Amino acid sequence: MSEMKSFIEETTEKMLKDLSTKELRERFEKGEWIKSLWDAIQESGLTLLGINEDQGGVGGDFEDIFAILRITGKYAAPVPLAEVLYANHFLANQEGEVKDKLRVVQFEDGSGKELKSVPYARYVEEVIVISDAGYKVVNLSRTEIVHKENLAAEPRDTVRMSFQTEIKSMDSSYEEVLEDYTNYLALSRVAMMTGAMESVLALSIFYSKERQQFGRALHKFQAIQHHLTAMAGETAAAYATLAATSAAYKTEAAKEQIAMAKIEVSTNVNVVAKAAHQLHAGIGMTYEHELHHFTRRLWAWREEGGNETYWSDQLAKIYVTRKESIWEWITNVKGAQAHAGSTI
Amino acid sequence: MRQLQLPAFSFTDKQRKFRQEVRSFLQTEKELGTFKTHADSWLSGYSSEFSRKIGEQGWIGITFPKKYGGQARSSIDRYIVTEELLAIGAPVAAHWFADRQSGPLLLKFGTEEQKDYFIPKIIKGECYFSIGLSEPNSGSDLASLKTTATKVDGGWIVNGMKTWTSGAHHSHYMITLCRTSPQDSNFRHGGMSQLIISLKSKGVSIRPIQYLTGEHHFNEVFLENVFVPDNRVVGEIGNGWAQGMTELAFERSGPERILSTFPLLEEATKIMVEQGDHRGLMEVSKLVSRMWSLRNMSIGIASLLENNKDVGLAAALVKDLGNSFEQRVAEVIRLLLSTLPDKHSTDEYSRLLAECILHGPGFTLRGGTTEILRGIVAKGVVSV
Repeated sequence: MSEMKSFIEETTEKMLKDLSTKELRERFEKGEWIKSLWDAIQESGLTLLGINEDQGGVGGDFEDIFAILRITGKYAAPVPLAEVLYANHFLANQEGEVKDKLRVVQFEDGSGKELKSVPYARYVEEVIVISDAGYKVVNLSRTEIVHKENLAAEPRDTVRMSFQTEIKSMDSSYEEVLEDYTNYLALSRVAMMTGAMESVLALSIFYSKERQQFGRALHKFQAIQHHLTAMAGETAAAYATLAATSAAYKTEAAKEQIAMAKIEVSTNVNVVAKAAHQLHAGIGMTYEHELHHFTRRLWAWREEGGNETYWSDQLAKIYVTRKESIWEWITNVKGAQAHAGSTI
Repeated sequence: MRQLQLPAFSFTDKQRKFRQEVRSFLQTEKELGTFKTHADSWLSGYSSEFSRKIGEQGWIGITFPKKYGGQARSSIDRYIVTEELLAIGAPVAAHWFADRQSGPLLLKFGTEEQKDYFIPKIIKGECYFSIGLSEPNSGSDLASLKTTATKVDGGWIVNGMKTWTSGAHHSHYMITLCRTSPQDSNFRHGGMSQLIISLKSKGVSIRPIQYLTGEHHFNEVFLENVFVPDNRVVGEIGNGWAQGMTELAFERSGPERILSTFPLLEEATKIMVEQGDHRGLMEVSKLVSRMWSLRNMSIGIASLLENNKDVGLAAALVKDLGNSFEQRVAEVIRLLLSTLPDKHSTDEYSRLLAECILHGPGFTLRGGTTEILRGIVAKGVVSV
């Protein structure tokens, strides 16, 4: 963790609290790109976080990045910060230097003509298209873009390319880059889901104190207390999981921890969303109430960067080939196996 | 909400080396036949012989000061020992409460004479404590308890009854929460005191409460005119409730709230790996992810406790989530590897599955029921 983590966490929190409001998110959903918000994020240097200064970045590390992404989730900021950060990192690594731009990466599916699920394509300047052959930087002003969206109305567009662009070679294989991106995207979504859970819990606490029925505030009822605890528990679990996994992001254990983190937090999305909607009852299922800005994002993000099925498949493959017991791995201490069957 | 934000903690190389040492010792003991792996071994695994061996290693009361024979090591080291003992399902019930609760309580509130007398014996694994809290009419509503201690010359006369007292039939002492002033509805948590009752005292009678398997772990303890000398009062008269609550965060967030069924998970995984059962291992990975996540919380709390932070709310959450997880392990595993669960089976898997299912109901009751914990958490979060 870099020393500036708590400082940038605080300033980002302040910034997004003021700027990423319910009204603004509603405007975004009606088709407006919120330039003021993106400009503020760019000006604060967040889009270049984790990139060395001699490469055009502002310093910091991945723990800082995931800490910031948690806050963007907490305020449901309608911006592709996670994706832009990765694209900037990619270019800084490949070309030694990067100039900040609204850009994202996407992996070619084979046809070479069409890219699916490109985050925010209708608003970004360029897409870095990664294929077996290398990478190319495609300017989106000359492409056909079909609007698509995820459950939270975040753009996940289809991009059709009808022209040739120079392909540059990469210093890693396609598979390596794809794995690196998948890991990053998964942990980004874990961070953002953690933040969104915090807001769902906060809204629920507020409503349970404000709303009265049978002459008492909702939180006085034991049935409601169960909902509050379920949300608090999963929010705390997500936070601890995020903290542990971010700290291990550049270590050998990263892949397996990311897999577990994504399984865990995705699984618990609906524990939180379901409890919150039940607690809010009718008002929580209206467009007017803010709750769905967070619950729809939770439902969208649990699918992105690999859902529980994707990651448990990965882990099962590791378990079959690994020589360690579960306990040896969890504790990161090899040696005498702790399972029952290993004795004489 | 800061109280829900637990830090990441990583063990140092020295701590990992220590874990290795503990694990090797336990593995060797197991291979020598000293003990057999059981689920929920901190309730069901009683062996004074084993407790003495653990005591010889210096692993009981490992955090206790050196002047009483302890090692003065960190609570992280205690965490490591506890985890290793539970993961291998070792019989730790005899010394469990003395190590976890009674020893720390005496060190915090006890007199010098009490510390000198009890702590070295606890550390050696020779002196066992039970905790006298619940009564027939005071379960979750513990503050309504009726057992009374009346002042007499040189001590107190105790009358009443305790129930669900784990291990009272083996233990030497019971730290008994009783009423030393009349009940006051305006001050529900006042007027109670903690007394150390020798379970060999005249007037103490212990009757087994058979667990639903027929096993004997719990007891009713009847107290009829039991004399307790003044020097066996813990801390201040009237401060018993507050004293008893101080160790709750340790108790509620420890590995024993997550690992009670771990031996089953490990055994089942081993079988599935041997069989190349990919679908089964996918389900296992979800359980392991949950366990890892809860463990991150639990260790995060342990590291904050080491720095004397207030983590009561997060600790209650770990217990609630951990206990549900412990129960879920058996429910998921039984469908992945079908067998007839049999607690007398010579097949480890079948036996552990039976133990996990049959011991399940207790997980979400002991040490504060799910309902009580959720009330604590809800009150905590709405008051922030």
